[in-house]
Amino acid sequence: MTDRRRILGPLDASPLTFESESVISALEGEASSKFQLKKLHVSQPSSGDDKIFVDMGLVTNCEGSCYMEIDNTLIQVSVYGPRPIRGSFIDTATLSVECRFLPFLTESKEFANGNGRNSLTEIEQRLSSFVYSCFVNTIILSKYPKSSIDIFIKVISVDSYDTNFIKLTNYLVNCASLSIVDAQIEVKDIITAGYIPTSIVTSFTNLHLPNDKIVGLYISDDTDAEIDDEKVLSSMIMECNKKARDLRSSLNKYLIQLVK
Amino acid sequence: MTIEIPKLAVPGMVLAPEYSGKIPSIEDLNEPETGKDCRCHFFAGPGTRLDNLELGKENSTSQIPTITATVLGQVCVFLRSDEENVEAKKSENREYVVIVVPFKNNKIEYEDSQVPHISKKDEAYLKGSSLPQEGDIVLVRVTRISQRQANVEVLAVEGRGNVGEESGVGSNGSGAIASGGGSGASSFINAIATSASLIAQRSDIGETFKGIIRSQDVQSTNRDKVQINKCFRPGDVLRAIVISLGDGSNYYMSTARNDLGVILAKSNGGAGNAMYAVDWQTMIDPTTGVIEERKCAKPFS
Repeated sequence: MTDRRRILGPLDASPLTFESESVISALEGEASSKFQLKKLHVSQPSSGDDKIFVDMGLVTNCEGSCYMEIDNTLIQVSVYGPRPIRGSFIDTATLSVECRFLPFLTESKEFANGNGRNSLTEIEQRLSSFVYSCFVNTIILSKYPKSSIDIFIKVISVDSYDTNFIKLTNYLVNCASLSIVDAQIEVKDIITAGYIPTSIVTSFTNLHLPNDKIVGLYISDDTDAEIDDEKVLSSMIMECNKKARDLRSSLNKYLIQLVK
Repeated sequence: MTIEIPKLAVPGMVLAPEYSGKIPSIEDLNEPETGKDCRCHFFAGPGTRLDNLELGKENSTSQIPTITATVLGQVCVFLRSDEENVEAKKSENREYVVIVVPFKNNKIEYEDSQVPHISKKDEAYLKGSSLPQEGDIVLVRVTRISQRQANVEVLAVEGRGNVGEESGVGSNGSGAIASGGGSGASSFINAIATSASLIAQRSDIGETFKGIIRSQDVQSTNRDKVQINKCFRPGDVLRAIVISLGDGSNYYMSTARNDLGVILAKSNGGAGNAMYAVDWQTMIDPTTGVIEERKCAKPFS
């Protein structure tokens, strides 16, 4: 992929000027008041453990984006597309997901190489695949022939206790869901995920309808739970379902508020 | 029980059943006959889809076709009929089109608190997604001409908004550019999660959806004698119809209709002023008086 555009600078660029102190402070005041307006907290009332900060549309360069803060876990997702492709005709859109940790994150030995790696690390690959498998059947790809939809996930920070990335994985799905909504890409339903710390993440669609479905199941390698036992697994899924349901109702409220 | 159609929708929300025996209640609308017996058929417009809602326990499920929202936005319901007049509304069979207007678009306001009326032939704009489809009228800009064809890029689909309103300093973008190219280039093409059978060749960054107008599709008469350089010039903005989705790279388009052709053009290869159409094949620069040949669109129909 090459960039054949002329580098002209932004069309809406304004020249660099040096303002006096008073103008700068006025501008800063304006900026901070705007930011406060945008701050909306979506909290999960019944589970009570995660308080989430959500902001949609922060990245103007893409079609849709979402930023999420859950304690020290910071995630930013941007969605590009539908974008044109080259070559032979395909009758649906192709979806791609790329999940990257920022290079200064060194919580795990996965990041020992730091900068300069030329492929995704194993864990990044795993997370990308999980998010991809959740969304590939939920986005109505047939509505976008001969195009591609690309989801880019940037993990800015991870909670230090979340060593198996269960909580992170959970919110990757939720954040990607919201950024797809922001991109106005047609989906069958919003996916929301629920998780049990240290062991399992499950994503659901159609939560409030009788035909709710599991679209993704992520089980941590170092889980203590006996997931071989069907009863244990189904009770864990029920717990995830409850959390996802709570989150979904908060998100619905948040989104409806956004439209109003 | 009367169906109440919600005013706002999030993706996945059930809006209406496909069939109903009573006239629905539409929030904020002054529908006098709400709740009256009537055969109502709901169609899924853009922003919605027809889904089967499964009801019942494991062994005795029944599927009910319902209209479900696919985007976040405002719900609009249109009455659909063969005739232009609103008489159809009084008939026993009513057809409604349910659409969801995405939240970033302007809001639709109902006039006179009445269900808006739409005739079947106006429905082109009620198609789904914003990408061009066969039969759509599009606005395009000419990027290159040759003896056989004009290459164009798609700017907008009529009635549905801009296409690929791209990020970065693309041909129609206005955002700031990032050092790596700006518009979300995958850093590791081979490493991203995507199903191998469906890997599409990506276009270059900042490219738009493209189209081709072949010389025989420029006008409906004298098709074989068309000279592209007397019809279009690079930089002209045209109104065209999509005749085929084409191959992976190009849509195929036509301007062989009175209302299709050049709508905006500048004289002297873009160096001069904006020109006006004098007749269907001439444009004039009002300041310098230069006359140039173009295949013009009829401005008023």
